[in-house]
Amino acid sequence: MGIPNDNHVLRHVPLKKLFRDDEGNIHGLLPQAFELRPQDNKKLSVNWLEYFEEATHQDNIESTIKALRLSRGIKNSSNCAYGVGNIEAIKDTCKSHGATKVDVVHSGNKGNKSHSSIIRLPEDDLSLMTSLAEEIFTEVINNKSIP
Amino acid sequence: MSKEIISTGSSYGINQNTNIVSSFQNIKDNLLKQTSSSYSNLEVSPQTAQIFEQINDLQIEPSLSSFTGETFTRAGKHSINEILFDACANVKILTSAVSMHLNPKLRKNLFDQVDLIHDSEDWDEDDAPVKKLSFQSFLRWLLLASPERGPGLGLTSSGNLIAAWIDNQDRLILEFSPNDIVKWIVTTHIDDEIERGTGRTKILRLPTVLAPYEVDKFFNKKD
Repeated sequence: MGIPNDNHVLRHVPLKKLFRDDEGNIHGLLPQAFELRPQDNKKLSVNWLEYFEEATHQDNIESTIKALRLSRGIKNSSNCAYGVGNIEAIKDTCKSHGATKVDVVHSGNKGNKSHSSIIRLPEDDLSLMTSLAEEIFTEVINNKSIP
Repeated sequence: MSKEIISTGSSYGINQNTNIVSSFQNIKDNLLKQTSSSYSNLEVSPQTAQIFEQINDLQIEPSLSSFTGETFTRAGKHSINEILFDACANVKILTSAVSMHLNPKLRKNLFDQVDLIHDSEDWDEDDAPVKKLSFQSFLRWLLLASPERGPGLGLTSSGNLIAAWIDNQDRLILEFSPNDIVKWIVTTHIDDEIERGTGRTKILRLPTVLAPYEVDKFFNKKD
């Protein structure tokens, strides 16, 4: 099922794929946070925020992160972070890079009900990955900031 | 054909205790052998050639884990903690071979960051720790470029080291692969427009390729 354009998805990003300066300050995500691995089967894992139908965007973020922690065993103390992007912006950016068939679909399962996938994303398109990191997934939430 | 001078600058001292048996010409030949023929017009300073030689000569014995540099297969009896510890130790040993050419503060910062990006609490078992040969490419570039300001480090899922700098809104990201190959990404903001360049080259070509983007601003210390 496709996710509505005005909705958002959240991507879990380990510390090693966060854009940090030499003093450890976080400035966003690295493009490599959007690199497909062989085990990803050409689908980039994300989580659908509005699935939880909370009252506010912030509440949706908290519910999504808490559910993700449970399903993936992420500790509250982990140094990871989460990037949030809007569906329409993701698809528009992909189109502007020639990837016209990219879509974001809900692929939830019992253990991770809001799980979703960005599908038909080109592999190894450094310019597109950079646009996603620096222009679309610009809302970054530190894992430790969520109780 | 114009000659491109690659030099580490006068700030590098020569380690008088190092037993250099090769003549400068031999060192230069060895260095050039490792680069493609398109770099045959390069000239290097004796100091640079010496540093490259030191990095090239370093061999790391396989240790506890099955991580051998370019392949990563998890050994059943070794924990993720052991494998990550070994990977970090390997690149620190590699760095120690040229530590006399590195600012101690920068070296400590790099070591701290290497540990941080291998945090076992934040590790996906399918990912590889840093590749020795990727880190070697990074070290070679670091010694050539000699930036005043160190990078923020990152790591790809396949174990390539990432070095990143930010200057206001502008960003520079370098991803180091084995054999001196580097992917580069520059983002600059000019009159509210984003100008971006990406590419793949060898570390010796990087200064030429990045010249139009005036990347020195990323490497200079801020007051």
